[in-house]
Amino acid sequence: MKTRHILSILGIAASLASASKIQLLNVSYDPTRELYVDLNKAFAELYKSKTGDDVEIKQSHGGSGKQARAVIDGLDADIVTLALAYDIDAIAEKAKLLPAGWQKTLPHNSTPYTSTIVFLVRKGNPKGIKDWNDLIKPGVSVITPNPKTSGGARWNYLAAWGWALQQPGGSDATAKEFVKKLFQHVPVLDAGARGATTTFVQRGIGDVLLAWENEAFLSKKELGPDKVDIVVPPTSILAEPPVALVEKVSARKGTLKAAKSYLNYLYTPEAQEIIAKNFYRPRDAAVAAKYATFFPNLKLFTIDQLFGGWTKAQKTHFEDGGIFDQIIKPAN
Amino acid sequence: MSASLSLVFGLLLAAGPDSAAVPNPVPSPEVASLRAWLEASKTQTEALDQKIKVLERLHENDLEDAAAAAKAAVRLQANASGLWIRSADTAYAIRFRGIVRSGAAWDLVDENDKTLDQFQNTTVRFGFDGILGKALEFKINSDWSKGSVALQDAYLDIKYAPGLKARIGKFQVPLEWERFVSPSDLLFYDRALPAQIGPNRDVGAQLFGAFASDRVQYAVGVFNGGADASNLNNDANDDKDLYGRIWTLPLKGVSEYVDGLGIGFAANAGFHANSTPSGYKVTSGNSFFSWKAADTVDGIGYRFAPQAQWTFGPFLAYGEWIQSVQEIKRGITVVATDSIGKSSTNKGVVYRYNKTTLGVFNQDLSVSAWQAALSWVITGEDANVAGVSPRHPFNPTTGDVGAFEISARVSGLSVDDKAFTNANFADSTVSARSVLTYGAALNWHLIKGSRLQIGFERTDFNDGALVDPSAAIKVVRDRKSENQLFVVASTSF
Repeated sequence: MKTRHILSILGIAASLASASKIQLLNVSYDPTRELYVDLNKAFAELYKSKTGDDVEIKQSHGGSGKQARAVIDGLDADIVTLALAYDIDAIAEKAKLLPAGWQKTLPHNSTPYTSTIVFLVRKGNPKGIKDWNDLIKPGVSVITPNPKTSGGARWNYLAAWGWALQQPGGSDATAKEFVKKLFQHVPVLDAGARGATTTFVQRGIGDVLLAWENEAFLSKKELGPDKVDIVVPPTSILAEPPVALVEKVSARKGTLKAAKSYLNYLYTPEAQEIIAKNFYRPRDAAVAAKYATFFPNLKLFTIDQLFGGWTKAQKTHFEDGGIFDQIIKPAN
Repeated sequence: MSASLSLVFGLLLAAGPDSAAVPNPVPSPEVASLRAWLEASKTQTEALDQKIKVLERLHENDLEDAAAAAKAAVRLQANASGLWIRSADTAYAIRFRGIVRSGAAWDLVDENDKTLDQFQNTTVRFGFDGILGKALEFKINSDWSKGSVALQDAYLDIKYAPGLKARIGKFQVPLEWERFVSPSDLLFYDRALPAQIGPNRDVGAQLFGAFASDRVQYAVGVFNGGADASNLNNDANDDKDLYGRIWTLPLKGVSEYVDGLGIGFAANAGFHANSTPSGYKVTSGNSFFSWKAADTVDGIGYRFAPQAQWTFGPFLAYGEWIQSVQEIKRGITVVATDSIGKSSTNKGVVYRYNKTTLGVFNQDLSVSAWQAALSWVITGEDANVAGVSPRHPFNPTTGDVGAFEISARVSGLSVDDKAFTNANFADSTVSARSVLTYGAALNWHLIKGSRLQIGFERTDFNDGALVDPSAAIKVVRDRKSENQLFVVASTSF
C-alpha cells in the first residue's frame, strides 16, 4: 500500500514536471468532424472562462468499429463519441477502460443527440424514390457502405430490415429477402460513410445514397441545392450515437475533471444549439422545439424495439457467418 | 465523357421533326425508329458510363485498401541502430542488436613475461530489445566472447512517466561512469581502471527517469550485491545492496561551450559476508592485485563515485574517481611485517575484534581508482561517448574516408596501504599497491558504429614483485611496466 502511495506521489510529481495545458482526445466516428470542431471551440472558451484553465480537445475520426479497436489497442482517448453503443461496449468489455454500465452515467442513455437514416438522391429525384421499397426497383442503384466496417452502414442495414419487418405480413424471412435484394442494387461497398458519400457525390455513382441525416444535409449544403435532394422516408430508424468517458485513460492522464465537464457540456442548451446547427437532432426539448420545422417528422423505431439491442443485432446480423454474410455470399 | 455524349444525343434529338421549319406532329416511321434507337442508345450509354464509374471507384477503393494494408503491415527496418521489426502503429517493436569487437594486443617489451600476445574477440554480443505498447520495454543481451554464452542483460522497463520508470531484472548497476559506455564505443582496448570497482551487472530493481528536459537524470535501486567487476545472475546471501546515481547537465542551454557539461555522483552500500573479495586487473587483462586466500568479505561495504564529462564540438573530455571501502576479514591472527624496506607500522589502525571467532581480524580497506581522458575528432564531427557519426562515411568508390579521432587518457588504481601492513591481507611481493596507466589511441570511424583503432598504453606498477625470488630475505620491488600496443576492429548494429 505504502509503495503504491509513493509511486502515486512520484507519478504526480513526474506529471507536474512535464505538465502544460489540459489536453483531451475525443475519438469519434467519421461524419462528426465538423460538429466537434464547433463544439470543441465553444467548450474550450467556456472552460477557460469558468476555471481559468486552457483545454485543447484533439479529434480523431474514422470508422466507428475501427476507432473502437484503436482505443482497445491503446489509443489514449479521454472520450469516445462513436456511432454505436456496441463499439463502446467492446471497449468496456475487452479493454476494461470504462465500466460495463457506462451508458447509464449520462442522460438519454449517453446520447446527447440523435439522427436517422434518409435518402440523398440526384436533383429532381429522377428515379422517383420515396420509400424503402423504391430502392429495389429495377434500374435503381443504391450506395451504402459495408456494414462489416461501417457503423453508419449498420444503421442503414437495420433501418431497411426494420422497415421490411413492419410491412404487412413482415417477418424475418421477408426482411432478409428485402435486404438481400437491396444489396443486389449496391454496386460499391465503401468502407465508411464518408467513402460512400464520396462515391455518390464526387464520383457520380448511383441513384440514391443511404446516409446519416446530418451527412445528407451537409452534402446538400456543400454541393448546393441544384445537385441533390433529400428524401425522407416515412419510416426509419432512430440512430443514437453515444458518448462516454474513458475513465481509466482519463484518470491516468489526470484529465478527469475536464473530460467530465466536456461530456456534461454536450447536454447544455448552448451545445445542443450547435448540435442542431450541424444537422443532428438535439435532445434538449427547448432546442428541439426551436428546430422542429427543420427536422422532418417521420416514424422512428429504435434498435431495442426491433432488434433487442445492439449486442443481439451485432451477433445476429454482422458477426462472421451472420445474416449479412449470408446475404452477400456470391451465388455458386 | 458522359457529358459530351449527352450533348451529342441531345443535339441529335433536338434536330428531329420538332425543330423542323414545317411542323409535322406525326413523325415518319423512320424518324420514330431513329428516335427510339437514340433513346435506347442514350440509356445504354448512361448504364455503361455508370459501370465504368463503378469500376473506377472499385479500383480506387482497392488502391485505398492496399495503401491502408501497407500502413497496417509490419515494418522491417534496418539502420545503424539495429534491425527493427515494428507494428504498423509502432507501438510494438523488436530490435536485434549485436557487437563484434576483435583485436590484438602485444606487450612490446614484456619484461614480466606475463602478457599473452594474442588475437582476441574481446566482445561478441547478440541480443534484442523491444517495445511492448506504451508502457513496457525489455532487453535481452548475451555475450559469446568467451566461447560460451553468458547472460549480460535481461530486464523489463515499466514507464509510468518520463520522470518515473522502473527496471527489473539483470542490468548495469548505476555506479561507475564508463560501464555505461558500450564496448563498441570504447576509445581504448578496454575500459580504464575505475571499471574494476563495482559490479559490472547485477540482478535487482531500480527506479529511474529524467526531469527538466533531461537536465537531471536519476537512478535508485536495490540489487543482490556483487563483488567488484562481477557479473552475477544470483545472490549468495540474504543481504542486498542499495545504489543511487544522479547525473546532471547543469549548464545546458546557457552557452554552447557548456551545454555538454555533465556532472554526476553515484554511491552504493550494503552488507556483504562470506564471499571472496575480488582482485584487480590492468587493461591488458593481467592481474596485479589479489587478496590472500583466507581473506573474506565480511561487513559493511560502500562505494562512491563522482564523475564528469564535457563535449564541445569535436572535443570530448571525461574524468571520474571511484572509491570502494569494504570490511575484510583476515582469517589468520598474524600481524606481520611487510617486506624489507616497507612500512610495518600499526599506528592509526583500528582493529575490530570478531566476538565469535577469536583471533580473526576485520579491517575496513579501501580501493580507489580514477581516470581522465581527452579526445579530439580531427575531421571535425561532433565528439560523443556513444560514438562518432562520420560526416562522410567510409566509401572507397567515392573516396570518402570516414572520421578520425585521437584520444589520450591516464588512469590509476590504488589499494589501501593497510591491506599490506596490517594483518597481511595482501602480499606485496605478488600484488602491486597501485598502478598507473597512460596512453593514446587513434580511432578511425568508418561508419557510425564501426571503427578501427590502434593505440598504445603503458602501465607502471608500485610493488608487486621481488628483487630476487630465490633470496632468503625477500626484497620487494616494482613490477616491470607493461607496454601494450593494441589494434581493434569493432562493429555494432
